Amino acid sequence: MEAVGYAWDAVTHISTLLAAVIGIAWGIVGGSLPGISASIAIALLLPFTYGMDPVPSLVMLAAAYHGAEYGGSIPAILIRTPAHGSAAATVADGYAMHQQGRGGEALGISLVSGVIGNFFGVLFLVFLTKPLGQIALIFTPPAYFALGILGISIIASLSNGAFVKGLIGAVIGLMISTVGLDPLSGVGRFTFSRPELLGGIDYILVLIGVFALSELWRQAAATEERKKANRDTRIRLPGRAMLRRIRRSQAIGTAIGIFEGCIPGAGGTVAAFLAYNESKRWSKEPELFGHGAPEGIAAPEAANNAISSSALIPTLSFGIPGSNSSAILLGGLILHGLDPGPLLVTKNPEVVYGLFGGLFFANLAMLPIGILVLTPAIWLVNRPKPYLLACVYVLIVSGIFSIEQSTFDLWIVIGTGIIGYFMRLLGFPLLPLVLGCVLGHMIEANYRRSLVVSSGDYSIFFTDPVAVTLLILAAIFIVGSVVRDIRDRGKQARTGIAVTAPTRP
Amino acid sequence: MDRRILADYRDTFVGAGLLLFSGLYWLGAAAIRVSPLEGSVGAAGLPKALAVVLAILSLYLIARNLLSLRAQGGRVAAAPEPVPATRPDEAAGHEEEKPFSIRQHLRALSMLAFGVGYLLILPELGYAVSVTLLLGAVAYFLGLRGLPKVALFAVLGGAFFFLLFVVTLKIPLPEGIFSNLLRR
Repeated sequence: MEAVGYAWDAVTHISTLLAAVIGIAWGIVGGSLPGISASIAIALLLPFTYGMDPVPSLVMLAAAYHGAEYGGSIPAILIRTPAHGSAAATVADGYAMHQQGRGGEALGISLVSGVIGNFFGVLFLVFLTKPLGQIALIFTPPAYFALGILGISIIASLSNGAFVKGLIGAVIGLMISTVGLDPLSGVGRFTFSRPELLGGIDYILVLIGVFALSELWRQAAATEERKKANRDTRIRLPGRAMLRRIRRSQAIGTAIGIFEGCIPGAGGTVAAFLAYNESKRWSKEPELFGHGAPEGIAAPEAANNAISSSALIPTLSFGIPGSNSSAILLGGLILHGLDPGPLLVTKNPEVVYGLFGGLFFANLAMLPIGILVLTPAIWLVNRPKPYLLACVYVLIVSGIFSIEQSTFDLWIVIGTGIIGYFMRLLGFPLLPLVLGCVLGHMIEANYRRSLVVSSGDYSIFFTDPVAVTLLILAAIFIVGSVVRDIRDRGKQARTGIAVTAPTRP
Repeated sequence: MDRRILADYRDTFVGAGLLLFSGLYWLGAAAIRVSPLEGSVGAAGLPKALAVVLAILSLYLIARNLLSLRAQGGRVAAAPEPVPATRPDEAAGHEEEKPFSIRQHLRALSMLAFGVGYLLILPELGYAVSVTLLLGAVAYFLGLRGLPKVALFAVLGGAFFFLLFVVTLKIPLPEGIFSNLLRR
């Protein structure tokens, strides 16, 4: 009942409602710009939320995540260019429908499926976060240490085809987290006599440098021509008959999205393609897929929108982001002095339930806003690259300065941008590095705290039941990934071709 | 060096670079002051452990690359990295890159230079002027042609961002020498 009260407080507060509306609108517009992925759209919002109260600021970021997932389908349907990975599954049938003169209908199916997927995603988020938060009571320092190790091992092991590079990224992230004053003794580490580094390197700076700035440079270097969308396209919401036709695909997409969201690292792209494949498998007319089947839009769009809610479950409950976008949302929590993890619901119920309330409102608002912002979104999609990238560059450099009013932070962002650029170039996954930065303090502080408690006895990590379970799970993930890596490399060496099994539509 | 060799031995070079970095990082960790307040692990404990783990992973990367080369008679570049069945690249932040040409890397480097240039002029010229110059320079560099068009975009964009950050959000961005001159 208390939870409902917090949620009600949030949705009756004008600042939360406004934040939800702005977040959704920005998410749709930002998410619709090819190259400006959902995570970059959210990252650009982050500095603006600094001066806001925690609830509206988190609602704005989470709403932007929802909006961006739908926004990604706009260029996918209209110009056959998915704005980000999770919209790639929508391209085949969305663009085919557009070519048949049914682009507006395709956009309507995408929007409605997104809203439905989101609604159930938020429901699961509400029902699962509290029980998961209850286990906070059994979490000891060794368990927190083990949780950090598990988080890193899961993300690294999900960096398909780049497990070792994923681990290296995580180690470098952990190294970045060691800069600054030692959490126990207060001794300076790797500060190079710079007072700005005594407080450590803010994870937000790493995140924006690695994800946003490096992507901006990459986009600027790419020379491909962008197609133009038809400005006269108007959205057409599906009627009752169409809703009946696509409901199975929406259910499949929603279920897959919710399930995948609960697994850190699985992400929207996997969910969208799985949903597409499963929807096709269960369809009575699978032959229509790829030629303008509405189900081919409904399933992936329901999935990637459901995941934008359910990915918050591990983020809020364990402090382990499920995707790049939820990693940025995690940054929003940290920016407001909140401690994401098992204690979040217990210590800050007003923030968590306020966020849930705001998300329900944001989901309702997505339908009218989705219709209203389509025309400006198409206008922006058609803007030439020089205008867009120049504005994004200014948004990044101005936004970063806004956080701490420090030009030193801008140098750090440029430095991490260079690291991100090289990581992309050399095939290193980015999320493990960011995760290393996020979890570094938790891992180190709890590791050393555990040893202080046990007077230096390492058996404390193997006698705590939660810690030992999590460490065993981490070991399984790591060993499994190493075995898979060696097996794949062996196969590759024998056949001379990479192990590929793409089932893209 | 031949680009083919670079591509074949890419992971070996990367591993060697990381190995060198892990060594330097170890030296940095060894120089961390010992505090009477620290526990049994110490402030240098985690950094040293990370240096060792990074060194091991770097060696694994090198060994894997060299063994693959040997197994395929000297070339692996023809075989691309394994691609997962359903593109979980976005999820793990792993975006498969199409190889860039040298010219494209230089374009990216130029974008970096614009950022560095902005940072260098920001304290002197102030936010309004610096951001106008950044907008104009980036837009021109990326292909916007016609001086009046570039200037109009830069000035209008600069005014918009000034209004957004300085006037509306009240962020105390550097004012630079021009505001001092105006005050006089």
